[in-house]
Amino acid sequence: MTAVPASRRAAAALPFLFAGLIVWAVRFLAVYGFTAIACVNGWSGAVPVVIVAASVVAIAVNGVVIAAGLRRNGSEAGRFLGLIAAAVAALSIIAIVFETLPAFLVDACAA
Amino acid sequence: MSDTTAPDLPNPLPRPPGELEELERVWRRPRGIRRLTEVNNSQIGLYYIGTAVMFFLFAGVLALLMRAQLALPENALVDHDLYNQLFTMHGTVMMFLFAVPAVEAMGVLLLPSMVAARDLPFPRLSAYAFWAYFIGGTIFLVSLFLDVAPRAGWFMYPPLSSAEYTPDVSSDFWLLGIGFIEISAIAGAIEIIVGVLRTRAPGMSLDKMPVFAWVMLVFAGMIVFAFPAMIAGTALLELERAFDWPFFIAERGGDPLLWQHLFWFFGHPEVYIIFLPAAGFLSMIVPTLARRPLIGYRAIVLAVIGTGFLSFGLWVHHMFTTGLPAISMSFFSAASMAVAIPSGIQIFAWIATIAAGRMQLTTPALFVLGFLFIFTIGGLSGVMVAMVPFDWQAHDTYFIVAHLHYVLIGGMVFPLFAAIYYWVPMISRRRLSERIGKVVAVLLFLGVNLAFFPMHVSGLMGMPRRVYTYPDGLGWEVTNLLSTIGAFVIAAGVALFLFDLARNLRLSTTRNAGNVWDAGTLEWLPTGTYQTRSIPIVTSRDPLWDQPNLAADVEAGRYYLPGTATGRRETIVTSSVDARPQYVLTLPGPGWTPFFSAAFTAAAFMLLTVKAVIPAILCGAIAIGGIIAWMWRADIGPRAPVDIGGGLRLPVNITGRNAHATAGTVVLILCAGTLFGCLLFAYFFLWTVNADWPPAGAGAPSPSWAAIAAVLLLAASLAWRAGRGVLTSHDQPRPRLMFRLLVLGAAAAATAAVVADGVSLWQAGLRPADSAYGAILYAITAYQAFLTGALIIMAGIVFARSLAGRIGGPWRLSFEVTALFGHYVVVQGLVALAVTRLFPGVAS
Repeated sequence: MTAVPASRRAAAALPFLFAGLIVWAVRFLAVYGFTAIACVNGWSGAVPVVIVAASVVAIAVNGVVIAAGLRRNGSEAGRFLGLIAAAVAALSIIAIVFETLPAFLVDACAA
Repeated sequence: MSDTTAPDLPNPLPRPPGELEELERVWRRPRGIRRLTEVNNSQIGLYYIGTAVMFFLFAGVLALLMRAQLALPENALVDHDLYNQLFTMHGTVMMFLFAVPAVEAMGVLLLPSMVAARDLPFPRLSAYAFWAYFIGGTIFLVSLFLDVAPRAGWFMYPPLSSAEYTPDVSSDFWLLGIGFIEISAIAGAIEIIVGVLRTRAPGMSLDKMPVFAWVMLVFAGMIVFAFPAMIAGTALLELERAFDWPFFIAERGGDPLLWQHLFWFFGHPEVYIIFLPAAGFLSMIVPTLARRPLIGYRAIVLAVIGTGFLSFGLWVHHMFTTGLPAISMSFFSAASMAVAIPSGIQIFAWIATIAAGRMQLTTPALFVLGFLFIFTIGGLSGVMVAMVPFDWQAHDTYFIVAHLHYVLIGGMVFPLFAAIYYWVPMISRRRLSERIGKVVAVLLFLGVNLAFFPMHVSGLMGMPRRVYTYPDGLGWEVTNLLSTIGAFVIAAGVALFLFDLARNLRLSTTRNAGNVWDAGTLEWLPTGTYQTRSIPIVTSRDPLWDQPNLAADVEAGRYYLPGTATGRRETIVTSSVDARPQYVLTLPGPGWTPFFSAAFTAAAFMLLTVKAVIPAILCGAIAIGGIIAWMWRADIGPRAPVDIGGGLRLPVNITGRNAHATAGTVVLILCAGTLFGCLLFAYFFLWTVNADWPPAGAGAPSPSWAAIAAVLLLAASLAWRAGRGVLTSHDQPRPRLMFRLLVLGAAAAATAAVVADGVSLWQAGLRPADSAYGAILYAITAYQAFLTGALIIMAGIVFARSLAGRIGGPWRLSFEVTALFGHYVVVQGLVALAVTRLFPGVAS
């Protein structure tokens, strides 16, 4: 066992681990916020378009996270981290798809 | 054990004489009244869990009173006003004073030994959190006996809880009492995050970390992002009640729904905040009982992280009947179903582990099986109420009461009982009785199902929640009587459990019953007050199963740090991913400041509830004085490197990015940022509910004042930066004066900025009581002023330390955390100005 000096990479490990769900959260809040504002202002037609667009972008970003996670090598812990990060991103994609379905099923601003 | 030295162990035998005695002396626990000064997490954890159990009993008695009242129709045991207090206190105490503190307590109790740290990095913070909770919570209970207990329901919806409909102090008790206990939960969360990430035994990389440590990491992270919403909500409602700032009053542009959003943005993650640690207990207990490693470790880690995040996307499912747009509700309905995926992963992993192993039907095993049954039923009824149309039918009926008790009792109370039966041998000379324990498990299982299953039926038959009685002839008689009988069966089980505790619990750190389950994780290593004699190198997820002779070698002192290297309490700090040793952190020993600061913090908040403003301010000042005294001694600066064995020389108390205090400050900033985010959410929310924003007639704050404030903030940031440069430069005499001027200048610029901001609001003719617009602008400025006030105190400490020669060169951690916080205050101030000054303009 050897001691290690300060590392910038370590500080980035947790954000990377959670990246997929951070993307999920940003998409969720953005879509929720947009819908609230859109329904107040009567832009209900734009709502499904924006939802789908946001989902496409979020899924694409998560695809990048999955690729980066699976490519990660180095120590056993590093590979573990990459694998979990990829799985987290995959779970996020499932959640995003799930949460996009209402755009096709529900009349946006009906109460 | 042989006394030949294996070449791969860091320290040779025999150990030098006096090494163990010195270690014991450093970690000796104070006796008598000075027990109050102990800050060690394993000790505080015991106080913590004991207190939580006390609150559990209290809230349970309240439930029995309610069930006694509802046993028969038109019963007159309890009148409506007392009944309102009973259900409000029952829910509040169970959620805030029992459930969250109990799991947090298990965290601080178990984590140090589970990751083989001598202690977590901020022991005084844990002690402060505990005492604040103990004293504040106890005073909160007393309110019930003085007939001033809160009575507006555990979620305190305005307008019922607002000044108009609850003019007495009962809501204030809730808002100030509970709001302040949230602060204590956050303090615990900071300790747990930094502890899990930085004090694990060498070699315990993230992929070898016990699931419980993962769970507590996610748990603490959730507290950091959920509890600030609650603090923001309680602060706004208290401001409305005390000063008539109309955040929730519709006539002046407020909206009661804003409270519901803030409350449930906290309140839904709260359910998982309680459940995840309980799931963590199970992931530790099930493999031991099944005699095999956990199946699906990686899947469980994924599930825990997934649940932690997704649970933040569910809050609106408590608000399906508030008239939101259908599509918004659909998002939350979908998210509510999606979160069942990670929960399901965990349940299947436990079932698979049980199926693949040989489960012994011990008491903890019975509680685990009870959990699986009860929690799964709660989960199923949860998916039912996630469906918007079904929820419209079930909302506010006993169906919900049944659902939430199945989830919370199944998801938290059963695992907690399993955990208590499982881990008591670690802290007690005797284990609890298997015979009595099994009876307790059976009684609780029968009682819970008998009490709560009929409530589904009562609810479907239309019985509303929170009614103190019901008329005869509606068909609710049988189910209610059954529920009452069930409640008393639960009480019998709990009473028997207390009897078992009284008979068998004999607390002891050094002579505990030990590894009676033959478990594989490090909390079962032989311990003293210093935790383990030496700190092991971990190479497996179940080290006691896979690393032969580990316990004996650890106890003999053959691993790292077998004594005290600095003559103080200390622990090894390791890197967050690979757990490689980085430095030795000296830890504080017993002291009075956490206890007194906590006592006076609690006193300050509780005096505010009864509007004793001057005594409250005095108590607050004493509390801050205590914290300053504590901080004065906190940063003792780097020391000469020490040898921990195996040829490894580590620095002592480093500064900079990798320091534990930097990590703690980052977490605190995340909390502060979330609270700020909640205020911005309130701003935008109020904007969407008001057609005119700013409202007609409200003045516009002058942009030049805002520009001045922005320039001052940027100047403050530059001053912090320059201060760091001066501190790290090598010429000494003149820069010292320069450094002090820069620190004072930075604090002064941040202060001037917030004053300029406030003045601009006032000059524009805005008054906080006039409209929700004015109120939220002043609230954002007031929060900036609050953080600036904290920054002034921090800068004052740095200034004073500089005068006293306690800062300079590499000894600068207190400056670095102050500067980091200072930069955050600047960023927040700039964002606040941008949002509040630019957005209405952009919109119109």
